[in-house]
Amino acid sequence: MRHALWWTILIAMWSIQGRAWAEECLSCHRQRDPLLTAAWEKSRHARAELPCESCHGTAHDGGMAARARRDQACVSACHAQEHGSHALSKHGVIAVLEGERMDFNLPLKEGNQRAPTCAYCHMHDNAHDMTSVARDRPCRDCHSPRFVETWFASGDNMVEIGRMKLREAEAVAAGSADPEVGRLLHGMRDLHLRNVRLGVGHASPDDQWWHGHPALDGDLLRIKSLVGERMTR
Amino acid sequence: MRIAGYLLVIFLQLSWPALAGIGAQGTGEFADHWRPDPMHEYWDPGAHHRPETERVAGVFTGEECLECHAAITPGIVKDWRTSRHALADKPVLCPACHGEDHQKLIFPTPQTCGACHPQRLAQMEEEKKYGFPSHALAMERAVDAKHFADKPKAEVTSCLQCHSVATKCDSCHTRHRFDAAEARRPEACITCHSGPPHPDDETFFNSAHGRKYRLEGKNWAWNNPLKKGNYPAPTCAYCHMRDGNHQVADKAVWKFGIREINPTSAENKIKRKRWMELCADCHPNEIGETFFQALDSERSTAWQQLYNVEKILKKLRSDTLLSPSASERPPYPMEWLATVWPKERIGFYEGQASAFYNVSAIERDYFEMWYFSNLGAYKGMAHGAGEMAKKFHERMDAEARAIGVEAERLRHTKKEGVDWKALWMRGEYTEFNRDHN
Repeated sequence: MRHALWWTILIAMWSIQGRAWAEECLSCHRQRDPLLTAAWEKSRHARAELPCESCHGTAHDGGMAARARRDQACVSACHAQEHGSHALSKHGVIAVLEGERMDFNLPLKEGNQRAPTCAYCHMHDNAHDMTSVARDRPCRDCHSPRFVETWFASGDNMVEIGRMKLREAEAVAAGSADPEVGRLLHGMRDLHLRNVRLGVGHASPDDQWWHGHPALDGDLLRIKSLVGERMTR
Repeated sequence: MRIAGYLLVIFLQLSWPALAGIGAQGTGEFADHWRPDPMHEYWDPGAHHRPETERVAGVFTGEECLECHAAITPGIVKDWRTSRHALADKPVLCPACHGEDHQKLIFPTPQTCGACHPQRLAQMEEEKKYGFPSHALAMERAVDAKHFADKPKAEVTSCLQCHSVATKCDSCHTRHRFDAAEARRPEACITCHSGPPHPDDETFFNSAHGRKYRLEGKNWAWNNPLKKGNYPAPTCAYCHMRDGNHQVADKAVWKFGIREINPTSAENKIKRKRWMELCADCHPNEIGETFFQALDSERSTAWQQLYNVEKILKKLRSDTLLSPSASERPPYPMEWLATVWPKERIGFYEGQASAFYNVSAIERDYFEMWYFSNLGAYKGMAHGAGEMAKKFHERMDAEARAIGVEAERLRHTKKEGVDWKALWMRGEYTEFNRDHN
């Protein structure tokens, strides 16, 4: 509860400041980049009233775009958790090893960078609306259409199987007032299942498996065990 | 009557794959019991690649491939253009590895690469004589695991992504640059060598060797071979693939983390000698000796503790206090014996590594102690990250205590009237799992 309060205050403060910063940038860029700003205004980032500087920094030095194209732009402030699965994937590893050799002055498309960073897929080809499908066009810059289709069809099944485990646990736990059961359900839903989803999206086997499916298995059987013991006569 | 029943069960178990009309599509020991997920072809192309589903027909030269693919998949063309394959006097063009016929495209396997790199392929193949864990046997042992055969294939496709290190070379030499320098960096290993049973990433990066790498590594000359004097600190490949040797099994004491091993057996003495020679690239012999003494003593402590906990579990088993009991759990599809003689698996020799789901809660607790904390402690110690070894041992202590307390509680908890079988055999996932292999 106390956390929620602090977050509300913090987000409110960001918003007030954020709107100011965004307005300052938008006053010029609405004319210069009308499509880009219009797309941004539809984004979740805009709804959360994040200022442009969150990703681009404040120095108007010609490096504003390149800065936002790097993983650090997303990771340092907000998306550290999502980054974990990307960092362990082959994409993330190559992005680290290539380091300065990747040219972030080039737009994020056509395999201009050797491996995808956050923005390469989620803001592919400058898509500031963030609603474009990250799981199709960006992948096909390097992978065959058949691979991309098969990967996500299989990945969706992997996530759905995770949801089955959660639903089985919820059905077993229905009516249970045991706080430990509640804690385990929370872990399945918000940690392990989320890891499977991030692991599929970011092509990270470690999150799909060790931090995902076997972790779901463990909590499912622990819930069954706790509920079973309550049934003793 | 009862014997007739048993015979019927045995007959059905043996003939089920034929009766069900499936089989043939799986591979390995339990081939009859599972069918591959569509993604399988990408992870084990040698065994599962589906030829002719490409949308383009025709026979093409390398230049023609590049011309089209520069527009269709520009990333891989740009990548290849910076590779040694492209920059060689006589470039290695697409058809060399993929074939010329777009309807019969080849997904390269280690054998494909071995046509030009026979020494590396031979080194990797040599690993097979050391057994698994090894890169070369990773795929066949993955699909031969009972839990792989049992679980829905879309779920265990996650396993194949790492175990494909046996069936493709691009796990380490990522396509289409296939850079040796990239594969020498420790990050090249961490996509797979991470996570609870093998935190090789964390333990290495937290060792003195790894800290030095993290501080200075990006400025080291990674084009240099992995030889004495070329690197200021060792990395994964420097030690495990000395001089670029693609056979990674001839130094590590086999299965040292997962079961109790005598490190002073004749074979292991030879392996130790090889390690010591390697450490001598930088350290005097006494340092190596002290290091291995500490590792052996850590292992012996860990096993004393693990055996104590195994004893607790085996006592619960003999007192029939494990709920559900083995007969109340879904059996593996390939184990007809378990249907007539069900038994809870405890420890390495009984195959507990495959039994991490559909077991009782206390068995799962031990699995996590043995497979996660114990292996973490081993990796911490072996990689010279003493603090991490200590952290994992503290976790083992806590887990051993908790299992002891829980075992006592189970002895004094009434269990009558619970339909454990219904709990463990039914449910959306459990039933889906049973019907989808």
